[in-house]
Amino acid sequence: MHKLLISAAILGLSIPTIAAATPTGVTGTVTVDGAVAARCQFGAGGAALINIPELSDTTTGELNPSTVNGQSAQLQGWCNGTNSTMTVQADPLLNAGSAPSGFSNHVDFTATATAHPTGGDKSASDTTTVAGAGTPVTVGIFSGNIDVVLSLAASNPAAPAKMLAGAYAGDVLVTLTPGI
Amino acid sequence: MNKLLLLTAAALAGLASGPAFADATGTVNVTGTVGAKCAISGPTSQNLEVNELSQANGTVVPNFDNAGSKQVSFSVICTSGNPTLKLSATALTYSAAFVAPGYTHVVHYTSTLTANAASGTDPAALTYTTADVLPGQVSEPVGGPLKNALNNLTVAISNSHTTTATDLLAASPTDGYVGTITVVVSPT
Repeated sequence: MHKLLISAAILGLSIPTIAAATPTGVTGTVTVDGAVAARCQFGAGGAALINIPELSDTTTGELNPSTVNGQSAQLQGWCNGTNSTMTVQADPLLNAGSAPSGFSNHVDFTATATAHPTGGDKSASDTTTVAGAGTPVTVGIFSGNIDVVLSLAASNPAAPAKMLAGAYAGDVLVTLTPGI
Repeated sequence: MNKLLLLTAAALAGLASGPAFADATGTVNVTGTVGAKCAISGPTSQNLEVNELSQANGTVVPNFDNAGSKQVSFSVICTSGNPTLKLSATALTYSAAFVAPGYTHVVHYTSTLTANAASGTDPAALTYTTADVLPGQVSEPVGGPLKNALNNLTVAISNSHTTTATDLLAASPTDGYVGTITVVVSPT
């Protein structure tokens, strides 16, 4: 009987070695999202006054349209939305007194508001002869002055009606509507 | 990983449904004034030719009977709601160097001012009669706006007389006797 010698070396067995693992990073992602709502605002310049000392022609007593036409005021506002719009509503100059035949206590006019976005001026207007606001105009993104100018003044009834003496009051409302 | 995605979605939902911003309105107040004023449209001075002032007996004709016209009208514009009418006059006087007793060079008369009101209810007629001592100016409110029309004020003369009815009128050159009627329309 022959003895069987067993040893690894002798057997010539090779014991494979296991390679060490290289550690790798993993990434988790946090997505942060924000939004800015479309907004329009008037700053401290959200109100202005146009005062006309004398509305009538001192010779005829009729309305002198040149006392109204060309009168102007400035508002300051801004909008941050590309689809923001501007609308104007003008209300006539009225005297509280009752005007008998041949007299007028009512002055109509047209008001035009102009904003100045980078792409070019945008104007909206309204006439007091038609109730309600005028057609909206897209002004987009802008910040700065809004120039308001009066024009096309006429008494109602028209001349030769004389203007009733006293105080007259009207207004121009400029509305900015945000949009994107 | 799933938990992380849920957080992100919730955050996005919160931002998308943020508060809605209302329209912004700026106001331009427009005020004006019409001053109370009156003006005369057309001539501010007119003449009344009364022609011969004496009768055949040398005394004054009654009621300016020889006059071509005894009234004139003015077109007055007033913007005020209740203007005031004022009237005064001077006697017809001839500046003679000497007037003998029993003669006179002064003819008194009555002026009457009427006005048309816009309401249709005209004010009462205003009258002024000259005298050796002139009375004070008379006045009255129209009671409403003057009618917006031509010739809305009329001045008429009448009642020509002398202080002493029997006095003879001193002769004068043509238009030697002159008097003035003053009408004032004030806005208030």
